[in-house]
Amino acid sequence: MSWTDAFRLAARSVLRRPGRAALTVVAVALAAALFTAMLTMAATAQGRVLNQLAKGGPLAGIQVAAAAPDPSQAGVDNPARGAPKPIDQAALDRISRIRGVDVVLPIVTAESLVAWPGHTATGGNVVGPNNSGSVVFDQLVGINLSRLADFPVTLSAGRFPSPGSVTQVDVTPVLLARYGITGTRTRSVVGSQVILGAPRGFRSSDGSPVFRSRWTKATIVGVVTQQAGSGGILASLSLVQADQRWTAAGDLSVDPDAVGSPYAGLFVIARGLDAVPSVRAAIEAVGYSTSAPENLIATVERYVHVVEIVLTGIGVIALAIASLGITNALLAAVRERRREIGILKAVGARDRDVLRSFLIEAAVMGALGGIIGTALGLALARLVAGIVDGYLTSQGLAGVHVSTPYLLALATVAGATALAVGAGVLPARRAARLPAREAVEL
Amino acid sequence: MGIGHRRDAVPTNARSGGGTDGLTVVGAGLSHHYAGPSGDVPVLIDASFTVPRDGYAALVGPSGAGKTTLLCLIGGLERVQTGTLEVGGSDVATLEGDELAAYRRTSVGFIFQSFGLLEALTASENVELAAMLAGERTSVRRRRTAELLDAVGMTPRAAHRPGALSGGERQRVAIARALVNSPRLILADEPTGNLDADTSDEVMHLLESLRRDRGCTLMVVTHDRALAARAPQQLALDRGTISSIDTAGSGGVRSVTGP
Amino acid sequence: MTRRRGAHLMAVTALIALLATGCGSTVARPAPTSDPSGPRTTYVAVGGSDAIGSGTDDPLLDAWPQQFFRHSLPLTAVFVNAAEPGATVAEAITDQAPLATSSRATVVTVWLVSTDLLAGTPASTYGNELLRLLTTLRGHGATTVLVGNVPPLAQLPGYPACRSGAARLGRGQPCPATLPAPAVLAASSVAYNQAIAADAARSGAILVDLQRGVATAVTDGGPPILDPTGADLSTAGSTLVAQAFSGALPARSGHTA
Repeated sequence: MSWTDAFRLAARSVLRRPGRAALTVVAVALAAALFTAMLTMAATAQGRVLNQLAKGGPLAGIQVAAAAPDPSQAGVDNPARGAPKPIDQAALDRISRIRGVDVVLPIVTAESLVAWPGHTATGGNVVGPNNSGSVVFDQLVGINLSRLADFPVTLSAGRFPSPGSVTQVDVTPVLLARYGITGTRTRSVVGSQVILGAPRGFRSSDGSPVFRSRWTKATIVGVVTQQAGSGGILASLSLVQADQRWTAAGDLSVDPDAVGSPYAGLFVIARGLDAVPSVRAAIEAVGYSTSAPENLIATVERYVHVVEIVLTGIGVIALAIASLGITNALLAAVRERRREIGILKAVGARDRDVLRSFLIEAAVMGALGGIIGTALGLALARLVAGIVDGYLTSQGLAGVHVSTPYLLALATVAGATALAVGAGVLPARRAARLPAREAVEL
Repeated sequence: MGIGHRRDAVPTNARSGGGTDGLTVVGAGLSHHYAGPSGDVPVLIDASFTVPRDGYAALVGPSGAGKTTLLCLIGGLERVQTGTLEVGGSDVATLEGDELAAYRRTSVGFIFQSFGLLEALTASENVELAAMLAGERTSVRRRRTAELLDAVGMTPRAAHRPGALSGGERQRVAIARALVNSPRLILADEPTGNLDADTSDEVMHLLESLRRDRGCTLMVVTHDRALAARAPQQLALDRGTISSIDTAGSGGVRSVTGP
Repeated sequence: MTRRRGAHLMAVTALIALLATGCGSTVARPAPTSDPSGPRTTYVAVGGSDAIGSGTDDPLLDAWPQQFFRHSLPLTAVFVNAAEPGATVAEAITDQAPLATSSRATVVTVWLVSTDLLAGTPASTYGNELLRLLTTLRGHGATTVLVGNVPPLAQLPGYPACRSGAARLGRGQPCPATLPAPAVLAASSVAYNQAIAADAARSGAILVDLQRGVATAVTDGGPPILDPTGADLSTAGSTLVAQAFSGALPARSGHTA
């Protein structure tokens, strides 16, 4: 009997008793659903936790500060910094050439006046008559907006500014808090217009110092949490560097701090988590302080791995229990179908034809249960993730994202099928050993 | 206790008709027992017989006489425990496993009292099953199935499942199945046991005509003396022994007395 | 339901379930909205204390050039305020015009009338200085220059304050030791406006007729143009001036918001 014929015969036998087959399939499906759902949710949670640790940037990201390293802080994830040290193009180039470095992304900052018509800020760094708070001092942080995935930035409302834009900015919850805007109300600022002014020192005709600002208009297109640089406004490199140039061209006797580090910092991405320690050491040897959550990530990954092993174990046990159900159901089927098996033998089926037929029946039920269960499990994981995502975003936090784990799905279906076939071995052998005489009523 | 047989009483294969394609069945000293709750239970004791190549023999006897057991041994459904059993010159007792399955598949066509059709398959699929097991190509087995269903008059009902067929119709399908691999030996265990008189007659008529057309050897188990009388040769079994062999045209019943 | 249909139903259900989990896994991101196209407007304000919002409620936001920039110029516009409190036209040529040139200004507003007028600078001298300033600012003709004239005296920033005897104006600018008589000032303001109009025509600058605009606003009633001290424009006055300059912007200059 060919495999096709055996498959057809097995399928017919399964469908002859759809109720019993359905029960077996449901048992496998539930186990597969549990397995898939748990592992998918674990992977999603892990991704979210690690994303949180990396503040939205890549796991192998290293922040380089415009400061010398503090020798007493070696090996610390987030060390205290030493004396300020500007990062210029030469330093950037040196760091780019370090072995293990994938890419170096500059971060620029510029001081700015921020005027937000209709809004009043409180607290420090406010400007205006009697510190009315209509204009505040803050920092613009400029990054390469084409490489957002590489930076520790997390969007919580709206969108990121378009790369290279000089009229779009994102604001941080910290800045908004100065205006008394917190929680879900932060979303309402998207679309609002702010006026930014880069200060520059001048000497007026009578010799007195005066600051003139280069004013620009910008639309708030989103709210972000960012760890790229200290500042309340995220913008493109173009926007911030234009302001930086304006300020730096000022009278140094009026504004001695006008010319600062060309780069406020760097974000270096290493070629993998393993390379992070050596790259950090090398950057510190160049003379700059670095920070990266490498120890924290390593610890978390260890714990998550343990959780994954436990969940996998639970899932496997569930599948094993389901496969016991298959064994039981097939054993009962063999008992019930003694005559049928005898007839098959009587008309010339070999032992292995009968064995194959029963194993295929088991495989069919296992595969069907595996497919349905995997789909169910993924849908369940998506549902749970949707609920969690809704909650997180309602709190102004970054949400979770479930990707479709194709490999896990395939492995679950294959595993369920294999377990079912294994479960079917005992009943199939028993069926194969039945004598042809069973066909005859004695 | 029957002694066995007397060779000179067994018809030889000398008589050859046109188109004979059957198998000689020769049993010698066949004994068989089943395991019972308190020891072995003998069901066949030292049975010996010969059925010629183109023979049509009926196995008669009361219930429990061992008829079905003997048929199962001949059909390869049971393994021979003691004695020899030659079918077409080959000792079936030496066959086992795949060889025995091949023997059942191609040499023997078995017809059961309760028809023995698989409920999950249609009539034509049941017939095709035996050819499928023999590894025939789809086109070949489809053609043979169609021919046989036509021969047994079941073409209009070919797509029906056994549950939708009457007893007589089911037995016709079973006959077609038994013949699909062109066996040279047909064994029928109480083929009319579950049928009424008229249907029984039809079925036996069909079986006999097909046997004639193909020149097979036919052995029928029955407890019905009238049915047995249709066969030229009758083997009477009683409590495990062949008590008499009656061959038509040899002048009456030959009884074999035992110790 | 026959067995065949049952089998089909099971298969279809499984397939749908499988597909459903695959759908919706990627959310389409909206296409990025780029900045408005076209050349970037650079606006420089040349002026005195009124241009830096002295007298308004919130100088950084309410100064009339700031209002002009926010409401009348495109989203991509850049604004630098070159104004110096108490500046004369002559001083503006050396102190403010270079910033406009180095910033490559494409729009410049000029409103420098108070200090010169109250100091008694002759209209001819003023006219010559203004012409030099406007010509410098116009550059090769690519820069749009808007020049404001003298408003009615009662609404001239600084005049009411100095007239009432104030020694100093808001930003520490002293009032002239000798303020010309009202009749003299009135005649001078007429002569100034004639000179401003002529200079505008000769240099290619655009005249912003504040004499008429402010007079109309006063006639129509409304909030005071000057702050309570009379030294500078009030917030409402700054808005009025901003609107007047805005109205004078050429429609198809590419500079309008």
